[in-house]
Amino acid sequence: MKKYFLTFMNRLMTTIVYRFDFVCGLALTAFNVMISVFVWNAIYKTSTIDSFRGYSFKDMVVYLVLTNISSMVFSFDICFRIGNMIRTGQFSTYLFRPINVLYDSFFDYLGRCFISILIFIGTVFIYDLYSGIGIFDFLLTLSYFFLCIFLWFQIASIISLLGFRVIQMWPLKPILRGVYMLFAGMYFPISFLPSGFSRIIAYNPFGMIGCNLSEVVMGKYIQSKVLTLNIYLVLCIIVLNLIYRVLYKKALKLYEGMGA
Amino acid sequence: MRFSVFKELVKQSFREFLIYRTTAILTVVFSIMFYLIEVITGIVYFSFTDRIFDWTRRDYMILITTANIIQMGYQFFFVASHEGLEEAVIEGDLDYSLIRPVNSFWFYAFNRLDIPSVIGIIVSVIFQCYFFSSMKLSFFNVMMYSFGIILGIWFLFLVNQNIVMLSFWLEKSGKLIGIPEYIFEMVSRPQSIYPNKMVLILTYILPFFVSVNYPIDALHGKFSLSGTVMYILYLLVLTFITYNIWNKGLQKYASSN
Repeated sequence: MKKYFLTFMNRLMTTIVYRFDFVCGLALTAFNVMISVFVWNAIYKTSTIDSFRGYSFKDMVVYLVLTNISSMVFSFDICFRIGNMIRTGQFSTYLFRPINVLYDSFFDYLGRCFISILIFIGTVFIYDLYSGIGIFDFLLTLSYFFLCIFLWFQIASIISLLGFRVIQMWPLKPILRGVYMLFAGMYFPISFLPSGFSRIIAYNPFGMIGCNLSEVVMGKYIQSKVLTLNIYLVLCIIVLNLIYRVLYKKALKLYEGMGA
Repeated sequence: MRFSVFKELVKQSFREFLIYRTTAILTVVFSIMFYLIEVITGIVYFSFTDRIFDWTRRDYMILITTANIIQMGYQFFFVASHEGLEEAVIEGDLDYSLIRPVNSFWFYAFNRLDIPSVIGIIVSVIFQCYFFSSMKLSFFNVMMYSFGIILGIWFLFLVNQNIVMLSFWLEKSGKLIGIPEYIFEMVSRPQSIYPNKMVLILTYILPFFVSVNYPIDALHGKFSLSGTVMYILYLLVLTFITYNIWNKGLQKYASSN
């Protein structure tokens, strides 16, 4: 455990040292939220209806803030870590060490987005305090959030295995970003999409960590549904973990240890 | 810069495009994807209301498509050059180009074409034709629209060129390069949704709003002659200033990293 803690601390320190990057990311997120809020403000003002599909303007602002902050936690950087190590040949030294690649990556990821996680939890806490949501709901929300982190990590790990086959991974980043924007509901809740389409992509993994997470925080679901969602997440994580193990074994056979 | 040099650069860009096929395909995929996300977002916005202030759905779609064509046009002509230029300045790689008997400003401006962006432009133009098909447009208005698009691309080039040139003076200016893109995303929404002061600044000081809205006003025949002249004058002056800053930057350039 101690060795993984070191990985975590290392990464956390790097994030703190390069805090300018982090601040830029935060400013950018705020800017995006601002544009969306202006647009929705105009829509709510022009329309005669006060709430669309259960969202008042205030709800919409909270939703956009939460979804955009959580998108900082679920960053795509980890998808490219292994790919980079393979390209430079650094991955060989990594394999010699008595560590589990998956666990190490996980703690690296935790260190990377630790500050974002704290910001998100802080926002949720303030929101719950402000809107008088009970402690049990808060804890349930937190457990949902932590499961989301695990789920995201599993998804990203599977994507990162592409690094064994593709040398230049970076053009993938905007594509993943785009998929995330749409399927996690960065601009609007998934339920706002035309109903046929939104039913198909409801409960997709990106939506679970984006749109649904915000809706859970905002108390849009009853407790039993949140519990069911929690269980659904656990199942997803187990299935993805099994897929990861199979794929990792196959991918490792491709690795030549030369660096490209 | 002579035309034959430009032709050679185009040939080089094309060869590069053929070498990095996978990257090119991915670039095409994501540029089209981002446009489609904008369109879907627009559809969602207008499923709740017929108008956003005085903007109908068709106006909105024309706006985001226009913005996309300008953005893609900038990418096609200039983005690859700008990416290379910032690195070249910091790493001290400009020398090879400076000793050539060509005007370095224009040589660098048209250094590389980003061939994959053509597909993005074609897709948006097809969409735009579809939105136009339900309007009565004269040939003159469409010509003015196209002219406005070219001015918009040129404006975006000048702004980005100035940001890239900051690297003559600042070492870590790389972070600033994305800023024009974000502002451009902002102005690709109806300008009436933003606070007045913001619109004024982005119209009269840095005419981002004009760059996107001018082609559309021209399309509707709503443009004034004096406004057009002002806009073109602004671009000419900015070109002149940019050109001079480039020469100042070259004097500052020390050819070592």
